Amino acid sequence: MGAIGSENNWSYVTAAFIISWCVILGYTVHVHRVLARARKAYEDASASRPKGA
Amino acid sequence: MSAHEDWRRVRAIVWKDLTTEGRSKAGFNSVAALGVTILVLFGFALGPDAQALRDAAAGALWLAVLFAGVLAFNRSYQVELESGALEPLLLYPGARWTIFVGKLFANLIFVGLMLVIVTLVGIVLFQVTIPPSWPKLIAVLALGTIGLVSLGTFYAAMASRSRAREVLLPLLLFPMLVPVLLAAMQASKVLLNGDMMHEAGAWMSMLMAYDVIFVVAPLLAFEHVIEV
Amino acid sequence: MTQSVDTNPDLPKPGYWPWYGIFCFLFLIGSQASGLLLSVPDRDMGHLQKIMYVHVPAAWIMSLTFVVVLYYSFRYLWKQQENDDLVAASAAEVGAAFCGLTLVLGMIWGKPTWGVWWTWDARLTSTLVLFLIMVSYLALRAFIDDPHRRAQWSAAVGILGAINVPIVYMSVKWWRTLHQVQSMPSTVDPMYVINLRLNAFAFLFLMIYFIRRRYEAARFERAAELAVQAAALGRR
Repeated sequence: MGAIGSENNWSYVTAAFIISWCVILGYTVHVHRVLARARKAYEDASASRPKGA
Repeated sequence: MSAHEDWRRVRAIVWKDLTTEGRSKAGFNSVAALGVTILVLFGFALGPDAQALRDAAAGALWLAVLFAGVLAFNRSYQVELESGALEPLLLYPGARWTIFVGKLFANLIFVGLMLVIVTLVGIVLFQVTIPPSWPKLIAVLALGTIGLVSLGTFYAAMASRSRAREVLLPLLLFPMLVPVLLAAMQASKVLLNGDMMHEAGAWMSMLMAYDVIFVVAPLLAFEHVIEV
Repeated sequence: MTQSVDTNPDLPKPGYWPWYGIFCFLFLIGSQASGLLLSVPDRDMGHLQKIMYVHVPAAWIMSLTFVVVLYYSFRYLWKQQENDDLVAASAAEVGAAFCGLTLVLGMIWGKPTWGVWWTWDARLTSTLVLFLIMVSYLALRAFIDDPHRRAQWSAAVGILGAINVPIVYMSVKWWRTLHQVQSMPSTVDPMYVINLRLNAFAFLFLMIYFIRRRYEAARFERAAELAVQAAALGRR
């Protein structure tokens, strides 16, 4: 079995790497956003405690 | 003594669940009717070609039982939750696994009866010719049902007490049941075609192994799930 | 006096983790570049083989997260520490992301190799079932509010799901036995192995970073819930 037309394969390879980077960067952004939101929620919640007590 | 006591508890729970179902037959009737309806719909989807119907009969039968079974599993806890009977049941002294085993047997009888009806209708609708090795076919049906009911009873204990139980139970249950479905469908198909290659035995041993694993594992995990 | 985030000793601190994250990304860029530019085209598959530098590491890391979920689910049931449950949940989320990536990359590889986007091949199909199990695990968590109940139940679901994975693989393999032979590169170039390992380590570092930061976020979410509860009780 010979090489499958190596020229148009590059489009598949490019697509694969672009998708990988999109998922990795997308998940990084997701984690950092969740982290920032959770941190802020915690700060807000603990800041309101002394006022209420 | 203690083992005897435990089995007495199991029997009491089976009896209680079946009596509730027996008093209002509407639950069983509607679940069985749904199973038959799904079979009819599969008949439409697969077209009137007799051979195509025969080939797909096993798969259609199992999917019908699966979809109808999901309703049965949720029902078995819902009746108790609505009347607030689950907490008192948990407060009774004795091992918690007896609740699981009791519900497992009750559901086995419930789904088993439904399976009989759906199978008989399926044989007629899908023009299935009964092969001489029909006892094996019954064994496949029984083994598949045990796997389905064991996991169904276990996951329903969680799903029925959560928000969105209608979608959660099938979502949890169906991916877990992939081996049961594949094995039961393939074994039934092979047996209906005469089992030339003697493949059915391998599928049946897989079903047996699956049943052992997924009766024991939920039994052990049930304690953790039901107490909260 | 307001209690600052950094003064609470129980909560995880960022520490050097942001720097570790930067290192992860630099390492990933390096190993991806090495995979893309320095590898020679395979005799049979040509440049297509380069997809393996992302597909195979994603698949390995995805399996590894499942082991993490299994381990921390058992540990939770054994020790009843809420933190173990949060690690399991973080790992499941990261695993679902990598599992989805593995599937998509498998399809991209399958199209030019087999001519179709999807075949009911044993590995592909069992990866899909694994993805569905992970999604249902995350769905279960989303639908339960009580944290103790959520932890108990998702530990049970995680363990049963992990037990099921090899059985699913076996059953799909038997189902497909007569139809499909796994095609794999016949000659293995040493450069291919090096690049594969490099990328696998890059993904492993990334996985650790993701799980750790997701866990940090989960801890803060729980702490915020508890603080809100405490504040509500304090006012009465």
